[in-house]
Amino acid sequence: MPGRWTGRVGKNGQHAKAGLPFLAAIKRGASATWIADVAAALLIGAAAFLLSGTAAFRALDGIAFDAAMQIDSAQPPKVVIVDINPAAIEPDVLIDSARRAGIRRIGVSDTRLAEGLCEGRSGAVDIVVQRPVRQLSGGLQFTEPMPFPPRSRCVAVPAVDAPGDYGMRRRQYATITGLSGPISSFEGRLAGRTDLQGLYWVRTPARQNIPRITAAQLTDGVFTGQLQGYAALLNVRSDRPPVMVATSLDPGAVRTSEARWRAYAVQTLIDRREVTTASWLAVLLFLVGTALISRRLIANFQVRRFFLVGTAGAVLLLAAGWFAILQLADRLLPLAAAVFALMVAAVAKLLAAERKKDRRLERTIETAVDLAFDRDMLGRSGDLARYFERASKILRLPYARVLERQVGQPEWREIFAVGTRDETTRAIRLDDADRQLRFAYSPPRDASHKAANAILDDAIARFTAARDWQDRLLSGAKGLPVDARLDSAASLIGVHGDELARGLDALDTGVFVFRPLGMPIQANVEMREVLGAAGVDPDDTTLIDTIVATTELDEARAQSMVRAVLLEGSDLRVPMKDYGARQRILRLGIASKVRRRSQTVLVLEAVDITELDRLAELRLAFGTFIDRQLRNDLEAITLGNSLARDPRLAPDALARVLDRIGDVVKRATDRLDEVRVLLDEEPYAGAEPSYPVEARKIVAQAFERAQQHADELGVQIVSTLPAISGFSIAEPLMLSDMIEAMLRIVIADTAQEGEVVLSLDESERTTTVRITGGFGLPFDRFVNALDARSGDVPAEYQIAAAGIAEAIKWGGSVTYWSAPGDGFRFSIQLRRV
Amino acid sequence: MDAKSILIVDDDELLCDMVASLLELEGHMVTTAHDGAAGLTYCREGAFDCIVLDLVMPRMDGLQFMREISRELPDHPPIVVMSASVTADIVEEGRDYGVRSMIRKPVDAEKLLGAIAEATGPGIA
Repeated sequence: MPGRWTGRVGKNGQHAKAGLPFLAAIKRGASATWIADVAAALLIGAAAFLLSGTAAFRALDGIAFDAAMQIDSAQPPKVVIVDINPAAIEPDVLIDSARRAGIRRIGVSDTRLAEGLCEGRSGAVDIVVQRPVRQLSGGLQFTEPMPFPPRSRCVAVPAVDAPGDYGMRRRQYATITGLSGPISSFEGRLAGRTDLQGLYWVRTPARQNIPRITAAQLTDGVFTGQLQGYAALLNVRSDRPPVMVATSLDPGAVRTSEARWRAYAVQTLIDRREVTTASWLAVLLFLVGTALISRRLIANFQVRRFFLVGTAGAVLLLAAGWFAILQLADRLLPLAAAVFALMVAAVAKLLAAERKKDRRLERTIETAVDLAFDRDMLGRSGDLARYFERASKILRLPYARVLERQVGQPEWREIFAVGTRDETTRAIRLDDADRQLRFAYSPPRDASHKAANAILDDAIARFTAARDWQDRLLSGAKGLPVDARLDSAASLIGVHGDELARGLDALDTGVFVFRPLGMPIQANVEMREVLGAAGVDPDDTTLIDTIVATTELDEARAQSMVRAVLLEGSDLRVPMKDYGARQRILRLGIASKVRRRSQTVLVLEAVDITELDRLAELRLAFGTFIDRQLRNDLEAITLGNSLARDPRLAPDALARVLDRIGDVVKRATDRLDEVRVLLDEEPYAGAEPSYPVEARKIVAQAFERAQQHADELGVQIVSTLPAISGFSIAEPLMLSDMIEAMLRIVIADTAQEGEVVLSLDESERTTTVRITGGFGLPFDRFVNALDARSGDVPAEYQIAAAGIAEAIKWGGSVTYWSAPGDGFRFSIQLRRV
Repeated sequence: MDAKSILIVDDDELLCDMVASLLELEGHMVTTAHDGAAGLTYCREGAFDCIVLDLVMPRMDGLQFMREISRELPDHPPIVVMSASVTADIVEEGRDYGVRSMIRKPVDAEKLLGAIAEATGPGIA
């Protein structure tokens, strides 16, 4: 299956077996998380359960119920409100008309009207009459209403309404508790529902139709046969305004007539859609379940990022479920408490996750800060006295005194003292929680005083900053927000990182640090220059790519090299490609003294061996020069010796031979003097040393390097070099660079298919290298280019200019000319020895 | 030894002088040239029995001299190379140009005279 790991690792599945404890650990961790979630859900659910009974939560549930009724489905009407004027209607006629219309029960609350109806002859319709009752002993127990005679079709029911929620009528009694048992309520009797107990929530769908007719319409036979099975509520007309109540039909306003409210209650019961409050156990389970599901859902979110959206979605889901239960099971669950449980569970989970992250962050900060201070002498106040003592000696301060004492001790301890104080003396106080330090010094009296002051000011500022950081980050900052501490720690580590990077940049050797698998960490300036010449971006490369780009190794060999270093701790070196005249060795090493191999780093060094190579060349040139030139002189002396001893030689000829021997000896001595500077202990103390070199070899090297550039531009280099050359005085690398730079200048100015001429001529005392070709620049511009500072002109001009200046020190000279159309002409004259 | 006409081509005047004196003492006629170009001119103008040639010289070095004289005068006199710069490549190339002997400096009188005698021996010149 793509993208899915199904196999085992290693022979015989050892690794797979080794993975079992890991899986078991994961399972243990998962179980622990579940247990924690269930415990938290129980607590939250219990709290929500308790809160669900409070007035505020019940009011919120009422509001939710009101909202639900706005979208509740309407049912066919089963209740009709009949407006009646008792004086204008005969009770028997009314009852008879009701029977013909199909009405099954008539409810009446007016006492006089009820008496008239109950005393009438007709018994075809049940009449439910409200009778006042008295509440007993302050509880929900009532006296039973006075019954009607047994032959009557009238039933007396208690006239008791359920208390409203802050004035809102949403519930009604199905039964009340009488002295001899439960007594059906008015609405229950009228709906024919005597099976109910307790309270129920009255549905008031906004679209429900409750017909309202007049008694006259009924007696006139308008609805004959059209109100089959209906219950009729008689509403006595009065000159007084009708009693109005606030209900879910119009939340927040007292606009529903009492008759209409009772009609909704009866309709709800006839439809068998009365809503009851869920049992306490169901409510508790619902709230605990909500909290648990909420925690588990939030655990799968990326905390914070999706918290608001996720929580809002969960609330919507909860509301939808609550509504579904209301509609399908006619059970009212405490929505407000459930939302509370959900929110608390989500926030608690979020806070727990944040606390966990904060703890990790705290540990990381402390580790990072500890490491940073461990590295920093100025962060360790115990070493500070020693630091200032050494600084005083290094800077040769004419006066310096370092005193120290532990906090609480009376005596100061003198760590260091030199000289006597004067008017320039500065006194510095450096204290921390454990130690007090006094440092007084007078800056040097020479030109170095500014630099000395700057160095010491910097050290003092660094110590102060380090102390503040330490106070802030480690000791007195427990109350500081972790974000602020993180900011300080990052700043501190950033400063140290910059310092280390600057330290790396100060190295002459190119250094590039990689992570164990070859991801780059830091390259210093020297290495960046080398990599720039190789076309490698140090910020977007790998160790293997770097090795392949800068050496002749292919990828497979480079990988072998890295593997050997990484796994065996080897230290490998490989020659780098030449960039310019510099020759380098690439050394790959590993930081082996680390606690764990995963924490190590690989260090790639571009070691410049040009100097070593230069010394080798110097030795070779020196040896060759001595060998070849002195052989001439020795031969002359040997021959002279043979001649001088020949008895055939005339006295004047003997004298001449002896003179010649003297001349040869002097010449040999002069030649030795020529190279004597190379025997000094510090041959490089002055300018680039010059010594006898074979000019042909140097010119040929430069020619080969420039040839590639000429090939790229389609330019031909025509060279005239002798088969063998003598010795000329020069510094070979500088001479080679200069010739190559001059060739490049001319090649770049030569048209495609054009020629550049390079020649080497030797006379008895002079060696001349000539380079000509190109179109040419105006002479003043050419001279300006050779004088230009770094960056203003191509590097070739700078190299050529440096070589020209150096050639004078070799006892040589360089002439140059350029004019548009006339091309460039360089002529390098060297001393031939 | 019969008197021979010998051309010495060497930029080292002192050495030329010494070798010339030695050869003259042996009864040879000696001509000296201080670079390859001058030596070539002498060869075009006169007949020599042997050329004693140095390799490292200004203007025209010894190898160039050998190439030129082989091209212009295929029957040029035998050449004795006397140089501090004798290498295997040069020995190889010298054979193609009629070099009879290559002596690495410093040479003593006996060795030099022996090489010249061998180069100018019967049937060779």
